[in-house]
Amino acid sequence: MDERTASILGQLAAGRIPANIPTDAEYAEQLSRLAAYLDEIQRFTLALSNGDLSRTLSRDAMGPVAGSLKSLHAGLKHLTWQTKQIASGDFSQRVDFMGEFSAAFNGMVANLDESRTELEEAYAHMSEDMEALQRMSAELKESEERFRLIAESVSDVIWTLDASMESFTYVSPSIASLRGFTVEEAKRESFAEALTPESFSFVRDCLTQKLACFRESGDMECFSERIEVEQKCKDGRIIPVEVVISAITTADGNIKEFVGISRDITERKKEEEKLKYRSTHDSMTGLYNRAYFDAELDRITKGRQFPVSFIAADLDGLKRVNDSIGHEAGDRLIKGAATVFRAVFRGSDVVARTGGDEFIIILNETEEQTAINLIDRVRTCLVDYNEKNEGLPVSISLGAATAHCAEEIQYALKEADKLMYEDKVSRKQQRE
Amino acid sequence: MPENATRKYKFSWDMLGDLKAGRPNLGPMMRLEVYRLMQYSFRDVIETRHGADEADRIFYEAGFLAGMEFYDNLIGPQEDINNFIKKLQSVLKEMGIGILRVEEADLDNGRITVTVSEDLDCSGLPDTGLELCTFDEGFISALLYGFTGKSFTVKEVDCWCTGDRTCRFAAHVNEA
Repeated sequence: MDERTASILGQLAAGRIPANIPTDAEYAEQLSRLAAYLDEIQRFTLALSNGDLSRTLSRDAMGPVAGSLKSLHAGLKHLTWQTKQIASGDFSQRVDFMGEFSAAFNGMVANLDESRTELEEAYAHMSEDMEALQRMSAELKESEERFRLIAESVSDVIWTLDASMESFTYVSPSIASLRGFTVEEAKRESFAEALTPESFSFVRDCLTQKLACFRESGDMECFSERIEVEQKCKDGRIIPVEVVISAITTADGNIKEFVGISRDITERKKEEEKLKYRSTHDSMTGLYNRAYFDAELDRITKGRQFPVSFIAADLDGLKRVNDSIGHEAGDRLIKGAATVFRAVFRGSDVVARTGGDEFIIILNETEEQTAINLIDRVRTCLVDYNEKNEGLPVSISLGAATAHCAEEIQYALKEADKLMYEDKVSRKQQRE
Repeated sequence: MPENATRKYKFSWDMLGDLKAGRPNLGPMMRLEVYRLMQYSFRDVIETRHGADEADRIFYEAGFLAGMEFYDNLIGPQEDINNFIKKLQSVLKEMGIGILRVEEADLDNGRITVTVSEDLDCSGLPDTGLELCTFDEGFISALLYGFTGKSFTVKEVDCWCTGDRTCRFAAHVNEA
């Protein structure tokens, strides 16, 4: 072996690749191939160490040395692919060919997988919460829509009032038919302006009591009572309104708002008035009836407004007329007597038909002489009435007595009755 | 094969036989040397009679046939490439065929590169400087066809027999 070849081999054995191999040196071709092989292995290894996996060994670089590097290259390429799979969400990837690194890498992936699972669970919980929230929101919306439809379709007015009882936070559209206001106008009104002064005072006291009851007991039943108030309409009319007031409370039990339903009870009130009138008045004459007379008598007995005078009156010959001519004629006599009484007595006097042909007039705070004078006026009016009305003349027997205290009332009534009969007998005798 | 020739053994999965019934004592396992004894004696005879290139083609075709049956019977349809690879890795390892690793799987561009370590056919064979695993090439081509429905050409670029420690197969889809 020549010296040059030995020198080149020495450099190669020391890991250095000679820059130039003389072509005329012994084994020059083999030395050049060895140098090229080592150069390629060096470049490939350097690329691997720099993380460049795109570089490959040429077909000429074969054998176990190149094969070992290719095996490392293949492992790193596979690791890169696995990492991409993990990045795209495949946490089942595990490394099993890189010793200690494999354990560390697999531990990291397992932790990532666990974290992802936890995140997914948290997300699932959050999604469930969101779904529940959306469901509740939808139900609330549906409920609100249902409430809106109900509020807008019923004739009653539904409203909400702030806890300070000052301003309305909601008024349903039927306010227009109840009071003639638009919703906006009604909402601009204060609670006080929406009611007559008396009603406002009444409702305020009422609500104050209900609130005290609620604060003490926490029971919503405190608000269950219906109350009747009066409200002023846009055109100035005052209408009777029935109101049911309840309350919406906050989570900590405080009043958030009042909720009310107002109903126009004008017709009901009229019916009630009619019923009341019918229960206290005689249907034929329109005078008070026996029931009202008894109630009034009871009131007077318990009162202190004396003297009270009574005039007992009895229609003469009613039975005879009913039997001989008929009830229509008798009824005309009764109505005629009523007309006369109405003409003579004041509105504050109680003129009652207490029997078929019997009447009693209660004259509050009236002395006996005044009563006697009124009897004279009745007689004068009777003459006048009979002159102006054709048919059978109306004839009435009358007697008056006065009570100066409660204890004298029954006596005065009997006395008036007795005098009335004496009058009847006296006038009968005069006619005979 | 002549058109009117009679087939004696057309391959079907049934031909693998009932191993439980047939080998109640020895079971399904055998020494790997026996498999290689059969494969390389076949290869020797075929190569002697038909030449090395034809032997390569025959082994590629046989590998394709085996791969198709393997896919149909042991892999089956998979949802995506990841599941396909996972299933394949699992079955190949379980059956002692080799350790499959993926270097690149770009189905959009029809490129896949995989390595098989401890390969059934070649790991541990002498360094001949020639790639040997043509059966594996056909086998992998069939697996890719089974999964994608597309024809792939598979070429072994590194092999134990060329001094490498792992077999690397580069596959690319054939243009229709």
